[in-house]
Amino acid sequence: MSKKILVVDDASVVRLTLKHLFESYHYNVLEAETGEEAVEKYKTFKPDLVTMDITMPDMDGITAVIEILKIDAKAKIVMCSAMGQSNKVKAAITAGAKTFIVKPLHPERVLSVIKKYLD
Amino acid sequence: MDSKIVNQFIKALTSIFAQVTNVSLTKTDLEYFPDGHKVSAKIAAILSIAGAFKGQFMLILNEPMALQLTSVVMAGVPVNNSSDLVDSAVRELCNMVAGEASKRLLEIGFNCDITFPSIARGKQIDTASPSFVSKFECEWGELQQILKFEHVSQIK
Repeated sequence: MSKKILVVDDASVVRLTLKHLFESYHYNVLEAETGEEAVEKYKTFKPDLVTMDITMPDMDGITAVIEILKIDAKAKIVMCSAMGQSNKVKAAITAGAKTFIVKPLHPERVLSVIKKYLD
Repeated sequence: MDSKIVNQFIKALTSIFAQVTNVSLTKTDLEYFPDGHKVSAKIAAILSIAGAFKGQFMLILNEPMALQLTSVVMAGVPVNNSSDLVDSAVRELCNMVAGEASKRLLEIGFNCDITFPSIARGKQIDTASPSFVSKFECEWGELQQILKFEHVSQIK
């Protein structure tokens, strides 16, 4: 059975790009537009991995990481954000994210990180 | 303070644009407007900045460049009409440039936060505050970047 990835980003162009990339490698993908939507979808979709943006309307990505980890302490969350300042990266890792990829997203880099945590 | 800040945004735009599109941008002009600047924008992505200084960052481009940008981001899929996807691509470019500029600013001691960008189409933009306007060109056309400072006291 294919592994499941929840892609969380307020930018539809990013969600679509990551969805196409992951589906071409036979992952099962679900999208969420906000942190709040991600937390809700996590409960039902139960993904093997989450890619998470930081700057989003409603609930930001770091708060969403904390909320998801309350639901599943073993959740694997990879931050994918343009906010690459050292303090943001530190905040995301402290919140419980596995790692941080700074945008722009390069397909090879994204895939290598995803595979590292899924395989 | 002002030139250091403006330079980080200029470096961020040229670097991110090249990484995303594989197309080089050339800066053709940089001008300071102490009383603000008016510009007619086909498409503008605008976000707010807070922290070490307060202001706004804007990217202004025309329709053909926005379509080209979206097509490249979507791995070469032809994009012929404006859509939410085009707005999303322009918004994301603005977000990445401001994110990269914030990273560079933190490295030289200015801690800034940015909001997520909004899109304005076909509007006359009046910054009405001290603004630095940088113009760039590439094979797709022209692009403008505006850095607006909320207070004149922030310009040195």
